[in-house]
Amino acid sequence: MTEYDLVVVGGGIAGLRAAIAAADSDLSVALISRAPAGAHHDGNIRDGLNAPAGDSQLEQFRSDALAAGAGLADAEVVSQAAAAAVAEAVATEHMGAAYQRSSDGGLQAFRLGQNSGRYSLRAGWWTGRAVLNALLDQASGYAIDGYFEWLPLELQLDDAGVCGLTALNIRSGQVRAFVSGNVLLTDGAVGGLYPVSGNARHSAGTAQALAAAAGAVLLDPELIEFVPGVVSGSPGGTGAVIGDAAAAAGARYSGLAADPEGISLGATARVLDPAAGSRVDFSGCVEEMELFAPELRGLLDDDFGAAVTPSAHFALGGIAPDTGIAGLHAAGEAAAGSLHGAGLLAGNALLDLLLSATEAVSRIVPRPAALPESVRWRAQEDIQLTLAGDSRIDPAVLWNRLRDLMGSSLGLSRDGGGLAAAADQIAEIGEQAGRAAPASSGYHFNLELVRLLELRQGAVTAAAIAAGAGSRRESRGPHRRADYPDSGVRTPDHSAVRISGSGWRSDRWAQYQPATAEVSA
Amino acid sequence: MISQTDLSIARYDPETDPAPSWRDYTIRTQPGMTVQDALVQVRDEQDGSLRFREAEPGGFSGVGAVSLNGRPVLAVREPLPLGGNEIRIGPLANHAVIVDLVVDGEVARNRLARLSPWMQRVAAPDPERPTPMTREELDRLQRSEYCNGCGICDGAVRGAGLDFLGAAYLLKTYRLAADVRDDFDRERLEMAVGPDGMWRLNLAQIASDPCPYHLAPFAQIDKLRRAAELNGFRNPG
Repeated sequence: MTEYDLVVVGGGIAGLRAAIAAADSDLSVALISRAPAGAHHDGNIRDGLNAPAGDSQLEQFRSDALAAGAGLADAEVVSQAAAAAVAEAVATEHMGAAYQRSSDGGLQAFRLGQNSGRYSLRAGWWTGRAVLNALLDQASGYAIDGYFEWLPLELQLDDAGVCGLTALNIRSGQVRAFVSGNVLLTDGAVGGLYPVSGNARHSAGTAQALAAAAGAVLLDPELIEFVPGVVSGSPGGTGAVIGDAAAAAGARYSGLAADPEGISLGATARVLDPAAGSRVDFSGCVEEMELFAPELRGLLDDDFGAAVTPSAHFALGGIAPDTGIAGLHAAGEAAAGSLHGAGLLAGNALLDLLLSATEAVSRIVPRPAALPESVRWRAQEDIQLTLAGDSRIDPAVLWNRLRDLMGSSLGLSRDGGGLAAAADQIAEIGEQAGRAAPASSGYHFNLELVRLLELRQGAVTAAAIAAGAGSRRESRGPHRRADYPDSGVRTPDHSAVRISGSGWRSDRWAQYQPATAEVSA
Repeated sequence: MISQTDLSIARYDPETDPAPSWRDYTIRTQPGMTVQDALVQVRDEQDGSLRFREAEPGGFSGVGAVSLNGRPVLAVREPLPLGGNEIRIGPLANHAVIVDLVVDGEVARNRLARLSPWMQRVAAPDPERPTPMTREELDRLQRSEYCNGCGICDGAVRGAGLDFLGAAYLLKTYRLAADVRDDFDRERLEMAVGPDGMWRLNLAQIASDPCPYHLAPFAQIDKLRRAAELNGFRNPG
């Protein structure tokens, strides 16, 4: 078995950036990605990359980030990000990301959404894609072993900490055990658990599920950013969102963008009310829509408007900074790094994906690791048992049940009774998923098998979201409790959940440096 | 306004089937449905053995290109043709089929890797500063830097043969050649001027733009051809 200094899980912006940083430090790296190379939804980021320069921009950035974080952004993390942003922007520019230029040939800064300063870089209308592609091209120049369309299955631990990871080669149906004393988890998107999301459909919070199963603490898993989505009435019952970005385009022409030059689709989406039933007016952007979201056209009413519904956009919480497990690391959306706190500042998603990756890698030291061969065949045996599971249980029905439940009880409107009932139902879905068989047999590119395994992971993540939401008896950021509508004065207070012997244990936990700014509701 | 619609989907598992075949399904349809909505309904309600890559709504990751009545489309963005038209959904053309509608994108990716697509410079850049670039220089490359490898342009090329380097490959060549930060232009051009390269496309293809993101790959390849000619390369055919 090949041994790596580091196994990176997730091939999006954070995962690629981490792999490149690790290879730069002469670490041997494997990168495991559920999605095909380059097909990662963080490439969809439309707003930009924050890179404040000079004292006044640094101050604007800090105060914007703390305000957006609704009391949960960590002042120290925000300051560190502010200080490191320009160097990281330059690093990605050197890798090929083509950011807009000013007339003197330098980088041009824009003002995004509601940000108070002009401190964000953009690579045209598709900044995330430009950065993702630059990283992908750059990575191909390194000796990084890429495993694309592989599903991570389980972290392997010994008494000293992490010693590897098992993963399923989707194409062959074969399991492989990767030996490594360090595993960095980045694939933390949870949008696939919701009925409506622009995240990859398979985004089941795999990183959080793997970490939680290994005993790590998750912080604030209930804090999930929603943006307005437009839904088709698909007869399948699983409504398809058609274009977060297109919905945001409506905002552009509705006068919501603060600065016409800094218009950013993603950023303006976040100032619209994503609550179900709100209406977005697209009449000013029919032309753009035809270009970038042609399928949206048929869904508009006679006045070019559409009702929006909350679209799960970004997991703000995640794996705790100190996992308590030697060799287990998290970055990107998988990590609760607390640059974001309880809200996403325009231009900070991309910044955090990059910075949290390089920061995590800077702390990695090679650890000796070994795995017995039995780990691989036991995992392969589990796959066999799954294929021979109870065929009367339909995983597609369970998936739809889970998504409907997440949308109705763990979406933008939550209350104690609904959360408790949801937790019970998630447990039941997880239990049934554990016994079910995929709708299709065989090993060769069996996507139904993969979807069932992802459902099991998703049920773990969903349970963490429910546990966190139940313990947070206040409304804060996107977490809106109908039974606790007023949070009053906000103090730093993170929910912390982990799996205990027989279920989810949740604590209130405040380890972060308190934010300096108190933000009122 | 729900009605019934018939469609045919290409089915093929190279491990068990001697050849690809069409299988017919009847689904419930309503206006606003996409091709992917139809595939999801078939998979979840009728035939769990149907395999396709499901894309995120919006379709910007480039996952799930298929052939709809012979035309390459992104299933997640393409409205399902209703009103009695024939609907045949098959795998993307010019790609090896892994199973059903899942095609092998690794072939194109591996070809791209041979291009050494990372920034290659004669002199290392100043690590403290961005590379100076004019707005005109940026404009030349920016659209082409967005290619997400969805494969639609490669699927749209007819009669170019299996050894053709591919439109996405040539678009990447253009993107790097147009970038003032990269100094490896001549070497990459040399890799793209052979009999398997840029002159394979005919004029009708050059005039079309099948890219769902409007990156105009064929128009950029035409510019690449002119750049090659300026550099003394000639059409070998």
